[in-house]
Amino acid sequence: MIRRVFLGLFAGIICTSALFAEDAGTIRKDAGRLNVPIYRVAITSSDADTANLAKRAFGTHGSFRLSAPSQAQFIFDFAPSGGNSVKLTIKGGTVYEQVFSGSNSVEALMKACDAAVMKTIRTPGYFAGKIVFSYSKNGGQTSEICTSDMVFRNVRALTRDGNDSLMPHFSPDGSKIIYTGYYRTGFMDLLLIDLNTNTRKVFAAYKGSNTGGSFSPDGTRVATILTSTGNAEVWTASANGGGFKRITNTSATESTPSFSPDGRTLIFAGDYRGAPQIYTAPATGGKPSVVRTNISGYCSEPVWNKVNPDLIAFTIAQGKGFQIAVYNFRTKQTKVVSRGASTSGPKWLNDGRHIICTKSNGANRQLYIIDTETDSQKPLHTTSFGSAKEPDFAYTAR
Amino acid sequence: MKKILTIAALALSFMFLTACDSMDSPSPLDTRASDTSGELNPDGLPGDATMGADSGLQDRGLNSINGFDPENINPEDIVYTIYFGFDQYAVGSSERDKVKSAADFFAQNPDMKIVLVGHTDWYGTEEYNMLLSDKRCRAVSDYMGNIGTDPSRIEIIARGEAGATMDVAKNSPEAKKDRRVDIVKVK
Repeated sequence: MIRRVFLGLFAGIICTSALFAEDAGTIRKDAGRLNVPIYRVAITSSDADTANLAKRAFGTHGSFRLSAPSQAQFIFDFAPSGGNSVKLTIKGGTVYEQVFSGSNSVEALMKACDAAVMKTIRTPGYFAGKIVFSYSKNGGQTSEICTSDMVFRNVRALTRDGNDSLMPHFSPDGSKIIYTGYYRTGFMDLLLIDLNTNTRKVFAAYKGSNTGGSFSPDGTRVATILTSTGNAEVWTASANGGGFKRITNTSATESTPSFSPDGRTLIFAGDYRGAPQIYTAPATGGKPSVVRTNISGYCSEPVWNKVNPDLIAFTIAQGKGFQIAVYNFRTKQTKVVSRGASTSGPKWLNDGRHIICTKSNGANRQLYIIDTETDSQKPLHTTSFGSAKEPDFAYTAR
Repeated sequence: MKKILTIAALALSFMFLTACDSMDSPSPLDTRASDTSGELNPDGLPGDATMGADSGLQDRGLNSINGFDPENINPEDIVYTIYFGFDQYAVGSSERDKVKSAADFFAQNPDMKIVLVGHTDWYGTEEYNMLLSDKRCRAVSDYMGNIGTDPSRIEIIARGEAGATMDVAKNSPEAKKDRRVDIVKVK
């Protein structure tokens, strides 16, 4: 009896360290890259659809390689438990079990998947997040704003206007969406959708073009681009509307402004020297400063990493198309993190490591997840779904 | 043996098709919420008011120009088209006579509104291209203003790369046609 207890405790210690120590997995050591664990995992479930969805989710994450149970370092079992609940069991060390609930079965499953990520690599998972994007049917001439979960099971068209609706941005709590549209008037306006009240109103309809629309981290302000004064300039406004304050006053074209994680700085593209480069300016106004990324003559769409404020991601011109690059303010190094078909519009996910973006192939646009650590890049949907572009991401699951 | 291989091939084909299908979803525009009240303001924007105009911004209002639809322009309403170089917004010397002719046309038709619809080629990021097309419109607007057209008659609609021919070379005929401002008459 005593021997059994001792063996059990010993096995438990071994298994616990296997389950919860990051160095238990394969460590990838590429020159110039951070070390990240990569685990072989098997996904099992008594329900084929549940297993399939979980595999799709983990298939986009750079730290997991799907494998057979006999080859796996961990087995993640997802058991539908009724009532929009899923029971997660992690085998491969100390057995971990927990039941997760959601507003629907897919959300419950994605929350369980995120728990599996946290338990194995100790960073947040992004699977229970939601995305908003601009969508058009294949061959369609106009685009609408849609939201979805990360596995495209709950896709909702928010607009059905029959004209272009573009570049949506979530508020930090995911309850509001601001986007650029040509709704009803035919002019380029900023429109605000409140998902709680299911209402939409005009955010900015000034003479000329009204675009941008990125929320501050505390959700109280919005960074925009307005051309009403005769030239494209960065303006901030109250998230409730009004209170517009001019941030830049130049003869150049500024575009795609967004806030730093502390909300004190704006980052944007400006073509002060001809083609666009990355600049920052105080969020209260002031002289823009160039960010010398030294990677391309055309740099645009910068976004700050909220988890690691040393990092920004942005779009660069490379070859005949565009790719995503990441610049590190501390090391002053820039690396290209995407490859292949033209890629643009990066947005960081909540783990501060993966990026959601758009890949282009002719007229078709497809949303991708890129891992900035492992170079993994995976589509979120098939091309037959239609053309999806300009995604934004919010993680609000509890 | 042949039978087993056939069955295995069919099974593999089924697995492949199932895997492919698993990533497909119906078009969100084809789906219908069971509760139709889930659609956003199908009758239009509530309030019909902008959210505040200050700091010298000029409010445009929420009315279209006599029902003008920039996505369905009658070609006969395009008075002239002004073309631009790659990533350029200045009105080139070869295009100035067309702008002058357009200004003359509108001087003879004082009741018409003038809408400048700006475009770019596919190359560039979406928002940058939108603002480049805005800048092209403003260059044409400024030129027309300088030769006597009342600026209050002119409206600008920046369309960016919407409708551009994708993935063509910068110096291709298609890309050159996309870098333009259409000067449109609206009665």
